[in-house]
Parts: sequence; structure tokens; C-alpha cells
Amino acid sequence: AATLTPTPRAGAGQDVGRSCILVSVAGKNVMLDCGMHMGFNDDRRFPDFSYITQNGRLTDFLDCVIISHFHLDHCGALPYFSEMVGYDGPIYMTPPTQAICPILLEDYRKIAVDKKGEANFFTSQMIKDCMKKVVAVHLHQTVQVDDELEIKAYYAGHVLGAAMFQIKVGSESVVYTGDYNMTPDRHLGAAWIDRCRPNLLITESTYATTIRDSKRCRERDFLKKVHETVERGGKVLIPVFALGRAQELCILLETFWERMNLKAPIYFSTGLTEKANHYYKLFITWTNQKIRKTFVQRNMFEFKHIKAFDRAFADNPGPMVVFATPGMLHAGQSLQIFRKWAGNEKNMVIMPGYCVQGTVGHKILSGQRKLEMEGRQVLEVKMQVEYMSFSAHADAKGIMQLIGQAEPEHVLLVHGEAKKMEFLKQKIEQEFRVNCYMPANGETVTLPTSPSIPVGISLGLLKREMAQGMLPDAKRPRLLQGTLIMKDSNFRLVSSEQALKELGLAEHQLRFTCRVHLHDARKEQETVMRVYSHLKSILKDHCVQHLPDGSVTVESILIQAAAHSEDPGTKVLLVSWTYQDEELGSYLTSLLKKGLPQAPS
Amino acid sequence: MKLYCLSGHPTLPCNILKFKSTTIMLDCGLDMTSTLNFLPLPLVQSPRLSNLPSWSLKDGNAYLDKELKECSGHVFVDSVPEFCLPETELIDMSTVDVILISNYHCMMALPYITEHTGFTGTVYATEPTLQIGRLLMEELVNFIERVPKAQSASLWKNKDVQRLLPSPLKDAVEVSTWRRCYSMQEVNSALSKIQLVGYSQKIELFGAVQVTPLSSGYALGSSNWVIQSHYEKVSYVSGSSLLTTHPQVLYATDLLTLKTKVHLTQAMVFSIASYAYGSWTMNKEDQRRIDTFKLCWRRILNTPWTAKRMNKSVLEEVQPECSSEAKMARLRLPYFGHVVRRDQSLEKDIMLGRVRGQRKRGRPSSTWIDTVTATMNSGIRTIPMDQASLKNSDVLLLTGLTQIPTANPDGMVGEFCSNLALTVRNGGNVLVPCYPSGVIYDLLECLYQYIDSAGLSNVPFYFISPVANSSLEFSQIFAEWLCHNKQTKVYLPEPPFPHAELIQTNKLKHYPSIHGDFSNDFRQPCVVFTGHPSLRFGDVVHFLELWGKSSLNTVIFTEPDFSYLDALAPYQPLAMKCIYCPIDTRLNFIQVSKLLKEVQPLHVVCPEQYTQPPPTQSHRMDLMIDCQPPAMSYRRAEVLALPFKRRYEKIEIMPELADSLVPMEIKPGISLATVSAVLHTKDNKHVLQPPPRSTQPTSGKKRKRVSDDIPDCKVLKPLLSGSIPVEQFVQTLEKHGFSDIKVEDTAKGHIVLLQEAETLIQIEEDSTHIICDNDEMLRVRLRDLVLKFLQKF
Repeated sequence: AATLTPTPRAGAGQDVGRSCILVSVAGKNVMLDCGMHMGFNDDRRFPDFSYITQNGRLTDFLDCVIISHFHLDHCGALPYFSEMVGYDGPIYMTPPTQAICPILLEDYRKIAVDKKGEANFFTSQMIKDCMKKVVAVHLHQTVQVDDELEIKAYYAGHVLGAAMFQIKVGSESVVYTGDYNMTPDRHLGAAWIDRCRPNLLITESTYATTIRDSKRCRERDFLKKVHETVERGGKVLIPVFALGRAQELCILLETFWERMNLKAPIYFSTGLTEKANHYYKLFITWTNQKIRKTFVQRNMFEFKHIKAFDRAFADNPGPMVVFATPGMLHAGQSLQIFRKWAGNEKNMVIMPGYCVQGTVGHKILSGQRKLEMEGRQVLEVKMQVEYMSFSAHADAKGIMQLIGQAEPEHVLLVHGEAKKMEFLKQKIEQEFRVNCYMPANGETVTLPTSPSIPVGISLGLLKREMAQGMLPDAKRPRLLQGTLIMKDSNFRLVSSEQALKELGLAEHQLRFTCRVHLHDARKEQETVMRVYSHLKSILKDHCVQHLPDGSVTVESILIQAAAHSEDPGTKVLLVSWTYQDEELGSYLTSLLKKGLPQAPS
Repeated sequence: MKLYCLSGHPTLPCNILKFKSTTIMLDCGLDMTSTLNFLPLPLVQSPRLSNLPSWSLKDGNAYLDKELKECSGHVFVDSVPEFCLPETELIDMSTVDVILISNYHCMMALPYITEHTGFTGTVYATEPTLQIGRLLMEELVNFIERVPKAQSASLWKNKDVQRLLPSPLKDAVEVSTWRRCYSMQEVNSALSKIQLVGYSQKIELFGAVQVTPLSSGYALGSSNWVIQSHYEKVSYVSGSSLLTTHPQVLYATDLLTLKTKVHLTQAMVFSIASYAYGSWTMNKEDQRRIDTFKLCWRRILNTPWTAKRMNKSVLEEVQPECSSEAKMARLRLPYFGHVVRRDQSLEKDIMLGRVRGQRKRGRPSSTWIDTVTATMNSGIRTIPMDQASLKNSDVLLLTGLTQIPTANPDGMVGEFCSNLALTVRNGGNVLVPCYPSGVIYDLLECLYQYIDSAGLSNVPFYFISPVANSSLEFSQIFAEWLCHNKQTKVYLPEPPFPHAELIQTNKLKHYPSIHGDFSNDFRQPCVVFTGHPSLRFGDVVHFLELWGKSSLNTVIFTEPDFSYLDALAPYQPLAMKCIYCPIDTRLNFIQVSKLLKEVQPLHVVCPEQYTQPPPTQSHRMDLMIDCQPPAMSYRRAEVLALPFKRRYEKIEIMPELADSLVPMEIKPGISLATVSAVLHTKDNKHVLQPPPRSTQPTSGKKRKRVSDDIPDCKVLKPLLSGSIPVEQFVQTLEKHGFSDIKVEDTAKGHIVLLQEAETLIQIEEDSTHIICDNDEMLRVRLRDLVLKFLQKF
């Protein structure tokens, strides 16, 4: 039996840092996501690929790499993996991911290398070379990676182009969700998967215990806070990742500004976000139904109130709202602006997404008000800090919903925190009665599967069986008899006759004839008549015939009578049958051996 | 397996396939050529059209007065235009399970089928097909509803009357089934039944059949369909193209656009490499070298030499304007003419291989003239299309080939541009009747590149259609369905089609109709793209009336669906210049024969039009499908029984059962195992499960009724095969305690006598007969010994 062995590779496991999972399905090795950890600045940033194979090239070991979406914790280590560690096989992602991923990687590279001066980091050329290995996968398209391995993408609704992937080898399959969102938001639709009944579902569990309050409340809350701050002349900093949440919040603010007729300027931090909006315009087929329907009249991503940000604007007096990257305040422009504005209690920073440990974002959210910056400076944070969960992950309810949709045999939780996952695990096991696993980093889970074997059945045999088997008889199920011919890897099930014929073999007839002695003084014909009526009365379901030549047949069993050569009072019944009728034949002989009932007359 | 043919139009097909337990409708084309028999619907009151003389029968009977009008020798029906529907009587539409749509032109009859026939199934189409199809329908409905016409003529349809009418009305088929256009409400309802699919998506139908759309290269989102079960495969090819102008072909990317790189290489490398190409004599060695050299494209694409990549795919990606062979041929042929027309000269003798003297032993070396001959016999276009998924079909249903097999689309685009420029330079206007989507994107793209060099930058381009804006917008968002260099643009991010820039720079303007803003902005001379290509309704009617009288103006026909002479008939006499540049990128017959050679279907089915040369060019035997075995042809309202027999069906063997099987090797590489199992069938899926553990009836409990004991004769025992070697058999018998064994030879075999047990065993080559007393124990013992020598099946 083949096995499924998913191994979270130094990531993903019980941690929201980076995702990287290795799955072996029936001998095929697939790497799911290739993320980096944003909280580290050293070697721990990238997954430890030496786990995968001790000796030999990665390209030979891995059949393909799949990237679920463009967030760096899912694709950040890709150039490192493909160019620096060395992997030349195919990398699959959706077209929007393919478009946006290199931009984010380049952006990150600039911050890491140019600003921080880190060495041993991938170069621009490496990003380009890496992207050349990418093959685009469209929604619901079944991509045949090789003869056996196929993958299929489903809509995940986490960010533009986010997808869940089904990996299938023969009859075994695994679904990897990546990050997903089960409630449609302002610009994306809800994740959806068909009832594909995979052997294993690997799901993220970032919000394993949260059941978030209704979306509308959160939006109102957000707008209220922004509005209040702007009213009192404060500045609002919203650290975001260039794509995803930023667009949703932009739409939100844009409509609010229009409705309230507000004048305070809203800025995007870099050109990146502006460019990102272009992607949203061109990849409008990946957004939700409403935006797609109305885009001809009005493209939601053409903002009127939102303008590009210049570094000089940060010192302008008066209220403003600024979207700045990156989202966890760990580097770049958002951190710069934060340092400028942190001292003023009128200002506010709204963290709309999750922050990993070690980032400034995580520190201020956990209540730290004095931050140690580079050069032993201490930054005192007086501005208001708000956290609003806008990141589009499925909550506990959503995860349960997805499990219900896909109906997997086993569930594996990754990308979450151990305690919360434990809770969810129990809940899943209770509700769906499926096995649930939550491996730690570097741990391997092995699931035995017992796939059924597909073979070809000859249509003649099948139709014959179907015609006879139509009557449902639960007590005595019909047995199908056939011969399985195995030639190379070609398996065919045919009727025995056909098998003999195909192989050019002659049938060997095995026939039995038993002598049964009967004490009966009457004539042979009469004996035969008595036998006939006796059998007829007992074997109601069988075809019992009295032939003109003085023999009796039961189905294909022949019974003849002859007088005993020595004792005329004894008749010898010759019962003759073939091997195929053995049961009935031996039954008949034992029946006849008991003798005939006395004739009624 | 049967094929019901509901439409006779080869490019607007509508067929129904019955395959296993499913009924699948393939496409839903609407034959709109019927509208050519009707008078145009003018947007603005046209005195000319409204004052046409009536036409009456020769016997002077005038009751058709109101229905038929005469215009320059042609008779037209004065009524709301009507369309020729697919046959709906041939099969009960409520039994149709699914409809598969191949491209947006082939779905125009959908509302008639889904709304009025009791159809309850699902329609499958790609997203661009749905969206652009919606636009086409919306435009059609809008065009017709905008000009309300009270009259709906029906008298002329009477069979006895129609017989007396002049051609082509006389020859129109199925006029009684012609219907008026549907309403927008019906369109919306029909389109709501569409389920979106992506290329290569595998869609299961009732567990019995799997259908998959494949890129066909013809239009945005156009697809061919593969319909297969585990052992049978039917391919449906409809409207495919090897000339990918804008749809999707996959290839890789880099900084410079590929196009620039190809141009550079062609200018700087090939021009030198190909010096005097025309005079080369090609032998195998040279060919090999050229082939190797051509693969410098690999370098350009940055394909590492380690990458496993077919040369073919490299060439596909680069798509050099023409291959080096083609270029060679192009140079070779004029040179041939040049040489041949010379008077007697040494050069001519040498080139034509007419040198006297003895040749050396062995095969004559190939000469230049051989190369010329080879060129003359081969087609030049060599760009292959990926057809892998169509391979090994049992049946290939081939529809939607090019309607203009003799025209080369590339040449037509060039002609289009030059005619357009000529007219505009002379101060005339250009009218291009077209559909709101499709070829227009290509034309705009060509013009975009051409405008500045031709000095047309000040000429306004107008695109007038109720759906003009939507069409232009939609074309920009289907990046995933576009060819690779268009996709690459989106990654920059830039709009994939250059018409966005034309609109930004105000060179291209679009309006919903001639009313409203257009009348204020209208400047002449100009170029107008508008519908409908039949010239019977839409804004084009107005422009023909407006510009028809001046010979300065030109109308350029690019859509091949309607004969341009028939389309223009009600506008005669016409002073306007007419240019016919049909652009049809669908497969031509040369490409089809290549396709068939490559995908090797067992049987080909196609409309009857493709099995004979076109009636106007009956000598062109090359303009028909040539394949072995000959293609089966169909015509409207025919039912074909497709010639293949299903032999196998997939069944799954449960792992527990599989473990219990004991295979034995019969011949090298062939193993057998007897299977006895329980068959379970659910949702057309068959599963074999291990037989239930035989519950031996415990004595006493089940002895109540005799019949309980009767064995079920339906339990089949395996067949036996092999033969029994007598000596070994006797030895075995002795080993098992039988004594006093006597063997007698007979004519056919042997008789083994067990005298003690009064038992006789006849052994022959292919039969064994055990004759014994009624001693079950003995019989079973003997049986088991015999079976040891035999194989079970």
C-alpha cells in the first residue's frame, strides 16, 4: 500500500512564520509553498532544505513545487530555494501570483540587501531566473505534471490569485488550502472546493479558535476610529502589505470619504501599491462577483481620493491617512513613518493584520511602549495602537465549513499556534469523526492509504452480470466470476471463456460420473420417471427435464438409469456432471443416495 | 453511440452525441444567413428603402405585395429578420444532459434551445465565451429591438408560394421553422444556465463520461472538447486555429519583448546565414546543420540546454515570421524562374542537372532541381499547434474550418490596412462591418502599429456598437486566455491590447449608437467599425445609406460569415468601393490534413461540405478533407451511428480483494488470477468487493427446509485448462495411498483403473472423466489430485 507523508519543513507546523510542507503521495514528492520567516534576519529566515534529501539533487527528488499565493511567508524563500540551493523542476502558481510575486520579492530584497546590507541573499537576477521556472495554473484547470501526478487549483479568496491545490496521483489525493477565507469581502470572493473527498486535507489554522464578529461591525469600527483621529487633526498610519488588505481598506475608505465628503488626504506609501492596483484592474476576473459585474461602468480600483505618497508628506501638518508597506512594521517606509509619528498621542497606528514575533508590530501590539531601535535608541510610543483583524483567514467556523465541503478522510492542521490548534483538532475529531493531526516543524506524519485498483472489465462480462444482478438479494449476493489478465501494467478482467480464448489455450473438461445404487424392482423407465418427479418436486428453482432418450437432466447434469448387471432389483443411476457444476452434482448424488420416496400410488 | 445532426451549417454546428448513458449537445450555432433574404432595418427613416416597388407573382396575384419588395433585381422579404434554428424535432431536447460550447459564435441559438424546448440540463463554456457571447447576443437583440417593425411576414413561407418565388428565396430551407430574435430576458435566462469552466478542467458527467475543454487557438476562450470514458475517446474540434493572433499559446519570457528579439535575430543573423539561400541544394547533411543552427532561438529564449524541450516547442514559441525553409523556398522559386527563362547557358544546364556524362555508382546525389521540386510539392506554413490531447481519439468530429480556404489571413490584414490608408488619404471614409468582438481586436492592433507610419494619426476611428465599451473593457481582463506575449504585458502591468492606448490618445472613440454623442463628435474622413456584418440591421445600415453614393468611400468586409455580394444586394446600385478581405484564421485543409496525420483518429466525422470541393471551385480537389478511412459526412437532420464498439469499462478492485488474488504467470509477462467477487454499481461506478465470508450453515439450524440446502448453481466455478501427464499422475496417486493401479492406452489417451476402488479415470488431451461409485470422499480426493495438474481460469 502506498503512503501519504506530509512533512512540514522547518516551518508551517505550529507557527505562523513561514510555510513549507513536503508531501509524498504514492511516490511523488511535492513541495507546498516555500515561505520565509519575517521575524528573523539570519539563517533561520529560510526553511532548512537539507531535510528534504541528504544526498542527491532536489530536482531529482521533487516532482514539483506549488505556491499557493504571493505572501512572502508562502513564497519568500523561492529564489533562495531554486537558485541558491538549486532546483530546476517546475513551480506552479496562478497567473496573478506569478505577476505579483516577483515584485514583492524584489521589494523585500531591496529592503534586506540595500537598506540593511545583508549578504548571502538572492539577487534580482535570481528572482528573474526563478520566475522563469514558473508555470501558470488557471482555476479548475487540471495540470498533468507527469503521467501520474496531476494538480488542480481552487479559488481561495485570501488575496488576489490565492488558490487551494488538489494533488492527485491515481486514486490518492491531498488538498492543500494555503491561506483561505470562507467569507467574501469587499473585493474577493469566498473560497470554494467541490466534494473531492481527498485522503488528506492540509488546512491552515491561523484563526483556529477565533470566530470573528461580523464583518460589518469591524468595518464600522475601523471607519469610526479613522474618522475620529482625522477629526481631531491626527494622522493615521496603516501598515499594510502592498496587495490584499490594502485594496480592501482602500475601497472602504474611498467610499466612506465620498459619502462623508471628507477632505483629509489619503496616501499610498510607495509606487508599489499604486502598481498593485493596476494588477487588480487587469486581474478583475479573480475578484468577487460584484466587482466583476460592474467593472465596465466603474472600475473599483480607480480611486479618486487616494493619492501617491511622497516621503516629504510625512512632515506635513494636519490630518492624513497613510497606507505604508510593509505590514508588520519590521522595515521600510512604514517603520520610518512610524518613528516620525510615534511620539504624538493624537496619531494612531492601525495594524490590520497578523504580526509575527520579533517584529516591531508584534511588540507594540503586545503592549510594549518603549522600543529599542538600532543604535541603542529608545523610541517611546505615545500614539494610539489599534489592532483590527482584517487579514482574510478562515476562522474556526470557516475551517469547519471547508472540511464539510471537501469531506476528507484525514485532516492535518498547519500554520497556526499549537494551543489553538489543539482545540480545533478536538472539535474536528468530534464533529467529523476523522483523524486530525498537527505535526511540529520537521515532524513527519505518515498516513497509510489503501487505494483500490482500477482495471478494465470486458463490457460483455459486465453487462451479463448487471443483467443478472439487477435483482437485489441481500442475503445471497451474486458472485462475479472472471479472470484478471495482467500484461505489463495493463489489467483486464474478462470472462474465463474469453481469457482462455485470448491466450490460445484449450479448455480442459473435468467430468465426474457417479454410480448411485437404488433398490427398485420396477422397470428402468419407471425408475427414471420416479427420479424425475422426485427431483422436480424438490428442485423447484432448477430446470429439470425428462428427455425422450430416457435420461433426466437437471440444468446440465445428466442422470441415466441402468439395471444392475447382477441384481435386477437394483438399478444403477449414473449421475454425470462437469467440474463447473460440482456443487449441484454432489448434492444430487447425496440426495439420490437417500433413496426415492415411496411412490404415491 | 449516435450523432444527431441538427444544423447543416459547417461553421455554426449543432450536434447531439449520445455516448454511454449521456446525451451531449455540441455547440448551438444559429444560422444567420437567413437574414440576407430580408430588407435592412434602417435606423433613420430611409426614403429609398421605404419606397421600393412591391414584387408580385407572375400570375398577377398581388397578395404578396406587402411582404415582398424588389430591389435591383433581387426580391426581399419586408419583415422582421428571422433566423434559421437548429432542428429541434429530431430528438427530445428534455433528454439532453449538457451543452458544450466551443466558442462565442457557436452559442447564438442557445436561448431558443434552453428556453423553449424543455431543456433542463447544464451548459458548459469558458468565461470569455460566456461574456463575449453575452455581448454578441445583447448587440443582436438591441439592433433588432431598436427598430420596431410591425410586420411579420408569413404568407411567402407557404410551400406552394415559396416554390414560385425567385431564387434564393425559392431554395431557402426549413423556412417554416425560421424564428424572430429572442428577447434580452430570454438571453439572461439562457446564460444563467451556463457553468464556467477552464481549459483542461476535467468535468465528470454522471460518473460515466468526462469532458474537457482544450484551447483551440481561434478566439478568446475558444475550446475544443474531448469527451471520454476510460476506454473511449471522442474529440470535438470546432473552430480551431494554428495562427494564434491573440489567443493563448504558452511560452516563456524575458526583458526585451520576444518580438523585438526575433526581429533583431532575423535582421542580423539570418540575413547573413541565409545568403544565397535560393541556390542551395539541400541534402540531409545540410538540412541537419540548418536545423541545428535554427536552434540558436534557444539561446534567445534563455532556454538552458539542460532543459528538456522539444525543438518544435522552441520554434512554436519564437514563431519567426516564416521558417528558414519557407524563406529558402521563397527565394528559391524566383531564382528557378530566373534560371529557366534564360537562353541556353551553362548555368542553366548545371542548375537543372542536365550535365552530360556518366554519373558515379550509387544513388544519384540530390540536385538543386530536386530541391525545387520538393518545394513545389510541400506546404510552406510549418508552425505546429499543440494537439497532444486530441491524440488517440476513436472519433474526431471536425467542424468550423475556414470559410475562405483560399485566402491567407496574414495577407488579408495587409490588404485591409493598405486599402484603408488609400481611401482615407483620398479623403474618403472607410466602413468596416464587423462583430463587436474578435477580429476587430486584431484589426485595431494592426492599425495601432500602422497608423503613424501611414500618416493616419489624425484620422478618427469610431467603434459603434451598443456593447463597444464592454467589448473593449472585457478584452483587457482575460489575460489568462491570451497568448503569452500578451500575458507578459499584464505582468508589467500593462493592458494586453494596444487599443487601450488608442482610446487614451483619443484616436479610437466608441459610442453605443449613432444617436447621441456621436453626432456631435463625428468628423470626416473617418474609419467606422460597426455591426452587423449581414448589413441587415445595426448602425452599419445607416452608414451604407449615407456613404453609398460616393465612390470616394470604401466598405471593407472582413467577416467571412456572409457573402458580401448578397449582403450588399439591397443597397445596389452602389457607388462606394467594396473591398473583400475576409479574415478567417480557422484551419484550412492543408492544416487539417496535418492535424489528422498528427492526432491519428480512428474515424473522422465532418459536415458533408468538407467531403467535396466547394461548388464554385469544383476542380480544387485539395479543398476537401482527405483521410483514411474516408471521413463520414453528415447533413442537417441526419442521424449517424458512429462506428465504434465499446469493449471495456473501468471497474475498481477493492484493496482487500486485490490482496487475496493469487496471480500466476502463464506466459512470460502475462499473469492470470481468477477473481470471484461481488459487484457493486453506484452512479455508473463499478466496484468489486471480496465475497462475503461463506457462512457455513451450522447443522440443525438451517435444516428446516430442504431447499435451503440446494446449492446456488449460479455460483460459477472457474474453467480449467492444461493437460495431465499420465505417468506423473499415477505416481501422485500412488503417493496418496492408491494401489493396484492399471493404465490402459486408448486411441485418444489413457484410462487409469483403480481396481480396488472400482474407479475409472479417462484421461485425454483436453478432458478428464472420473467415473466412480457414490463415494463423495473418494471423488473429492481424486478431484483435488487432478486439479493439481490443471490451471484454473
